[in-house]
Amino acid sequence: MVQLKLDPASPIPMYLQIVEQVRRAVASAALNADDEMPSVRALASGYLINPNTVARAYLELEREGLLTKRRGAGTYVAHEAAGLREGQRTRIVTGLIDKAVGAAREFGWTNEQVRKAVEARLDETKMERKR
Amino acid sequence: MSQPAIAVEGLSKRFGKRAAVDGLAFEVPTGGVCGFLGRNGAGKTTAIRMLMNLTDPSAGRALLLGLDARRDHTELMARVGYVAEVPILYDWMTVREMVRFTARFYRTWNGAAVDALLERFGIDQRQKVRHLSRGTHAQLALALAMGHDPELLILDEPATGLDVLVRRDFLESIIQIIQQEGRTVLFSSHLVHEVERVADQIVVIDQGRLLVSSRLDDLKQQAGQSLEDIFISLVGGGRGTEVHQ
Repeated sequence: MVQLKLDPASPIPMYLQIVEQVRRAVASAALNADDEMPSVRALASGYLINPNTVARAYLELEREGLLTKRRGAGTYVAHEAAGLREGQRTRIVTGLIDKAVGAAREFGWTNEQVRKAVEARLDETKMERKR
Repeated sequence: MSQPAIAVEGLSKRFGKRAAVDGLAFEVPTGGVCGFLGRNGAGKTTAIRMLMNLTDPSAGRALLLGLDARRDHTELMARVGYVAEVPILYDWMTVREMVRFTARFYRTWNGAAVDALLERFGIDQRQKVRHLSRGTHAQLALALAMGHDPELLILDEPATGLDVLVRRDFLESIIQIIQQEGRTVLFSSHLVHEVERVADQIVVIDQGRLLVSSRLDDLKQQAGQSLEDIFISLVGGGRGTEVHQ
């Protein structure tokens, strides 16, 4: 089971924290099709949060097609989740790129400067990984 | 939407010239936990006492489970659980005697549930109430309030004065209580973090007036802030001067 890191004091609503972490777990293949999710009740008591909050998060994830409820048998990662994986990855990485681009624009960087910065980071992190 | 567990309409209470509660109106949906937030002296206890028919409103009314808090008080007693800010328990009794004593006020009593809660809290029923610590005292009051299987539980500053570990235990019991479908909890607090963890709805009052009544998630999403920051910007208008009063 994926470990969630929930912070009730964060400005991000609790249900969204759950949604985002499950999305990420699906994207990174920490969660795979047919994996069983903990019940609403178990998650609520485990993390000491309101069961309604967990239920809302699960509902949202079902709507997105990442989770599916099986009658009388709990909640599972949907078969379609693998197909959605690439989309989730794109979504998460794009979101982070947007933040960096936003900062660069604020500082008045040109596209060329941004590209150079990205390439420099790509090279540097590659070196770091080899080490 | 089904009938709200609590509906407060224009509820007011004046003490002489001072309005302790002033035209309060909000609803609490069935099946959730509502955090009733306000600074000390904001009017939370007065409002709760009107919900429990312990004091008469100067104007307005409160409906609990669709029933009028004043007119239908007797029926509500059997369906609502209440823990006062300073619960009144009899010092000379043992815990077991206190449980038996309380049970006699109710037509139905779930003794097994009370025993289970007391055991969970680690309370020895042979102890005298007098010898209980403050935290244990509060836990006993909660266990007693659960004895008649209430559909609605109203707690006035339930965790104030409890240490961190006991408070966590207390929140855990609240979570457990609402695991049972359709149960509603309203609890007042001046501690934002306590509310934030378990509440799904937030009602904020200041100087007897309603400031916010909203789903916690929606409130955070709209404001993009933590509840603490939201709370401070709501009630701390004249910050600096007021806070150090």
